[in-house]
Amino acid sequence: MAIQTPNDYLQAVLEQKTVSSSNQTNDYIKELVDEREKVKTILETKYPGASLALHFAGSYAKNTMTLPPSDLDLAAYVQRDETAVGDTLEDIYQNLHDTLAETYNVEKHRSCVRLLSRKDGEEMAASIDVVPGRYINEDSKQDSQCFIYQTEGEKCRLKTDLRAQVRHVRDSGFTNIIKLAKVWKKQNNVSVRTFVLELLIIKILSNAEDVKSSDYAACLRTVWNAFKEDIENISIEDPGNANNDLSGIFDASTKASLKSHASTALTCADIDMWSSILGTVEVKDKAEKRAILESIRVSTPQVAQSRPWARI
Amino acid sequence: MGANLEHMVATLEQELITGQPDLALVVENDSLVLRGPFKLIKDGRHFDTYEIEVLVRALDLHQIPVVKEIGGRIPKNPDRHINDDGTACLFLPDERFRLCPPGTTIPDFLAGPVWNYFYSQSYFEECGTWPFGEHRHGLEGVLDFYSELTGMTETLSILKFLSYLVAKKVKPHWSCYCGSGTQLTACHLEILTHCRSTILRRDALQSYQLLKSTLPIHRNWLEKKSTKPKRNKNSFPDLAKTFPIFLKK
Repeated sequence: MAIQTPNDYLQAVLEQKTVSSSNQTNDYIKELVDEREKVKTILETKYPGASLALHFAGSYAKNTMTLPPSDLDLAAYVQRDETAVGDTLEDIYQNLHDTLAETYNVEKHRSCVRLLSRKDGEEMAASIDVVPGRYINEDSKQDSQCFIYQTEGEKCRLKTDLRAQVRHVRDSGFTNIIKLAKVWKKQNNVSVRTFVLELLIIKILSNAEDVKSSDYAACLRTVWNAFKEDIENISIEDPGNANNDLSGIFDASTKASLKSHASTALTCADIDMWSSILGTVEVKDKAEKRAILESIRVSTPQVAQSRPWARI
Repeated sequence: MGANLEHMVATLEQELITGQPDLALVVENDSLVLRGPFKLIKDGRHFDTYEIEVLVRALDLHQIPVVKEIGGRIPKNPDRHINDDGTACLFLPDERFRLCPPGTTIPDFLAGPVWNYFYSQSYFEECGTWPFGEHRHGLEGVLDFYSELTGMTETLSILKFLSYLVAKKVKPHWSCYCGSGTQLTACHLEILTHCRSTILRRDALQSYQLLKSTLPIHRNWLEKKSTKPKRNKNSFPDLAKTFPIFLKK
C-alpha cells in the first residue's frame, strides 16, 4: 500500500507495530499463546480437578496489543468455593507463586506474579503476568466480579471485573486508536499507565462529535487536544468497579506528562511529521520503494544534490 | 586527538540522537568511529539500510570523514564509486564548499552527502542510473567539474585556472586562463576570485597536481604574464614615436 496521507501512514503503523487481523499469526503471539498453554499445564498438573481457569487478560484480550509485546497478562481465577489452591487470597497468591517458581524465574508484584524467564534457559517472547483471584459469585459466567490480592496498599484485596474491563475496551470501537496511542506512549516515553490511557481515549472519543473512528489522524488529534487543553477536567472510572480509586495512577504527574507530550504531538502532526511521534514504518513493497526513490530524485533541489566520484 | 576526544564524543552523542540513532559511537585507536545501520527514511518510511562506518577526524569537518560501506552490499568497483577498501567516493573534494560549507556538523554531513550517496546507490540498484548524475572517474571527473564551473572546455585552460586557484596571490594583470590573451582584470577575474574564496586551496591543489602530473606542461599557457606589452602608467608616452613630426627640425 503506497502511503499518500497521514491515515495511510497510521494504517501502516497499525499493520507493522501492533497486533492486527493481518498479523495475528506473528511469531511473538504464537510463542506467548504457547507459553500460556505451558502455564496452564503446570497449574492443572499441580492442582488436578481444581476449578482454576486461566484467562487471557490485558491487551491481548482487549485487542490492543502492540509489537513487540511487552508482556502477556493472564488471570488465574478460582471459583468462589474452591480451596484446593488456597483458602485465602493471600494463600492462592503465594501458592501460585511457589508453583510457578519451580519452572520460571518469578517476581512478586502488587497484584501479579511475573514470570520473567524459564529456568531451563529456553527463551520467552515476553514476560507473563499471572494475576491470581477468586470469583465473588458462585456463577462466574453470570457475574464475573472477583477479588484479587494486593501485596501493598491500604486494602489487601481489590474488587474488579476482568470481563467488564475487557469488554469496555474491546467493544468500544476505538481499539485501533488505543493501539496507535500505545505506540505513541512507547515511542515518546509518555508517563501514563496503559489502563488509564485506554479509559481516557474511550471517554474522550465517546463524547467527541463528528469524529469517525476510521479517521485515525482526526481521532488522535482529538485525543491530544483533550490532553493538552482539558486534562484536568477529564475523569475516569474503572469499568470493573466504579468504586476503585484511580487517583493513584491518574495523578498530577501523569496529567502533566500527557499534556506536555500531547502538545508536542500536535505540533508534529500539524507539520505532517507523524513519524517523529510514532516512528518509521518499513517499506516492503518493491513498487513503493521505486516510487519513493523517484520522488526523492525529482524533489531534491539542485543545490542539495551531490554526485559520486571515484579517484582512480 | 586524545585531549579533545571526550568533548567530541559528548557533543556527537547528543547530536546523533535524532538523526541516525542506530549508529554506535565508539573510540578506537584514539579515533572516533560511527558504526552501524545507516537508514534511508523519507516521510517516515524506511526504505533501505546500509551498514556503514564513519571515521570522524574533526567535528568541524575541516577533514572530511572517511565513510565506508561495511556490509558488502555495494560491489567494490569504481563504477559504483567505491574503492577496493570499501571507502565511499561521496563527492569530488573540490565541491566541499557547496556540500559541507563552514558550520556543517556531523549530523548535517550524514543527512547531506552521506545520505545522498547511499540513496544514489539504492537508486542505481533499482534503476541502473545515477539519480543526480555522476562525475567521471579520476581526472576526467575533475575536468568535468571545473569545466562546468568555469565554462571552459579546453583542458589547458582548466589547468591554468587551477594554477591560479592554488597560487598564493593572483595579480589582476596576469593573462586570463581562458586563453583570450587579455588580462584577468578585463576578462574572467570575477569567477576566479569567487572560486578562490569558496574552494579550499588544499582540495584545488590536489586536483591541480593530479592534472599537472598527467598532462605535458605547455609553458606558454602557464605563463602568467600578459602577451600584450606592459604599459607603464607612470611614464610619459614617447612622443617621438607617437608623433614623429616632433622629430623634424
